[in-house]
Amino acid sequence: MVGLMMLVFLTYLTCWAFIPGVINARVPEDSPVSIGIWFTVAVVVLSIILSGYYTLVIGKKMDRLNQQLLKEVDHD
Amino acid sequence: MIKYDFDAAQSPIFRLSMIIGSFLPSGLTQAAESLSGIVEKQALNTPAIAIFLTFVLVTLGITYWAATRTRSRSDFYTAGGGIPAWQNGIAISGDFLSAATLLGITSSIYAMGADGLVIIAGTLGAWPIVLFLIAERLRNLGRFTFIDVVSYRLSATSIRPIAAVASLFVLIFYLIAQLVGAGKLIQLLFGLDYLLAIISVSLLMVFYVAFGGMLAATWVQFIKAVLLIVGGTLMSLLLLNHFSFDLGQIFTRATEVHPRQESLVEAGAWLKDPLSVISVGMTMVFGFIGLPHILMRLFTVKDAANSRKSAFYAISIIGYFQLLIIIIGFGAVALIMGNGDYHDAEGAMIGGSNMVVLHITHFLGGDLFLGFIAAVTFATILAVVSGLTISAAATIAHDLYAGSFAKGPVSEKTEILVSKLSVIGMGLLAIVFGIVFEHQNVVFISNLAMAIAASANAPVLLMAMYWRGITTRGALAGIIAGLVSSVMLILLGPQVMVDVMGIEHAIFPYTYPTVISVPLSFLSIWYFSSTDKSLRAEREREAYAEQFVLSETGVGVTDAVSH
Repeated sequence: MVGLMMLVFLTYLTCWAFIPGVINARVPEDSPVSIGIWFTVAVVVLSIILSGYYTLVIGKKMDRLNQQLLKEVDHD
Repeated sequence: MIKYDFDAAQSPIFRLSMIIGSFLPSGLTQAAESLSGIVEKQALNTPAIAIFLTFVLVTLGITYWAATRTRSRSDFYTAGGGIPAWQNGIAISGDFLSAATLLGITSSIYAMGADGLVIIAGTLGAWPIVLFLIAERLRNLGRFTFIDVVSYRLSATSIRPIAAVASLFVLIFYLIAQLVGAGKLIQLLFGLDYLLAIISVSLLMVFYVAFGGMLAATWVQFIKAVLLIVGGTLMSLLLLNHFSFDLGQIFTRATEVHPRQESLVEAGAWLKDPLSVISVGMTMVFGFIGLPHILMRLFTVKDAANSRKSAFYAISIIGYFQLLIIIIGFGAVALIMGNGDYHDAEGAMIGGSNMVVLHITHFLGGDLFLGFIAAVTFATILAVVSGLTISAAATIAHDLYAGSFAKGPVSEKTEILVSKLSVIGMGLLAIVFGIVFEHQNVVFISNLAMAIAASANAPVLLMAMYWRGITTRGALAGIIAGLVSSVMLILLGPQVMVDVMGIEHAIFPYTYPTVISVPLSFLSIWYFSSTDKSLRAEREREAYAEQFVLSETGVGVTDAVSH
């Protein structure tokens, strides 16, 4: 999760820093909105989705595993 | 039409950057600096004052209620760990969504277009990292401050004083920047005198925190965050309605009326070289990881699972609000750029360029909506300085006094007394610094706060949680290297040498030192830990296994109280 978020964010920064042509491109060509704006929106949305997945799915699994391990330790 | 009262005798003129920049926790200060314009004291805004007074009355009532529930040290610092995750998440988002987010980013987009979006992406890039890497481990390892975590297996008597000094630098610089900016902004929004604004904000801040502790500070932040989200949502809906809910129309109109035309939605207006972009990105990510008052909020919930949920709620709300800011920023360009009601004969924005949000608010909702947003902005400042104050009180009483200077164990009663005295001290300090810095350019001070947080706090916190090899010697070296290098490079940078001292060229060319100071801090921790062959170092490395188990399981973490 951390790796994916870092990858997206570093890609974003790299594009903005070194290849502004990508940021400034339009799809379709006559669109009033550049890729950079959509890319920003995508980073925001992705960060919410990844955080939600981590919190609601992975985190809960980890909590259950934790509880199980702690019970085993107590039992021993 | 807004009635502006330009009374030259009562209208001190300030560079806009001083105001916007003084609020900004991040790369925004660069954006603010590139703006131009003047700010003048406005006519008394009655609706805004009425709405704000209602907010103050409600929050004072909450403080009274909170005071009856704040008895122990844990209650005072962290509300006994009894804040529900959803409420804490909203409060955390309130800590982040300051006046800077609403006024600063919108003004940046209005002036420079798409480059202002790097700040938005930087924020949302940073928060998930806080969630994934820090939230749970922090809650499991610490009690009141992040220094608890850093010193968990290291020598507390050595680490606490140095880490506390770095933290206090961050909090006090941040407080000065907020208060000076607040005084100016209140002058602008409410037509109140600067000194009256500073004193009233400081007194309210002391009252909330000294009596209600973290519980009151959280409620103040929670209410303000809800108001801000409601206001932002309403503004965006009115704006979208104006363009028949067609986003394309907003951007088309914006690029037609803005002087930058098509390049409004393209990169390169502000961040002109790659290192500047990377530096802003690093400041955003590491800066937020190292802000003591944000980290402290993660201790106010019951356990690690709730800490994780808090961070998720905060990310969702902050993300949602940042999306609104994009709409509001470009919508403002489309609707008020060149509008004669909001610009003078020379084409300059009436009241200064940071009035963008307030002008668009007035355009969309008239005087009452303007009053509401102005009052929310004041509430925002009050909530943020309260959060800073309780964090500073915890650092002074818990880390410096009880953890370092007191000889022998300190009773809870004594520690709470020291905390409350610290709160009063912070209030006095705020008034004094507010007066001293009234006519100073404080942009560099807010940059300094963020740079120190990123360079001195974040690396040592991350390494203490994740690297077995860290030792007390390495941690001290990292904190000192981060602190000294960030302060020195800011002083040698353009914001001090060029903007404050008036020298033509700065020795260090970048506004943000983090591109140097953060790696230097990490390297110092690594080098001085790796070469530490002492017995203490060996014990500290061996203690990592125990720390790891606790950080993952939270066994033995104190139970929460119920509010």
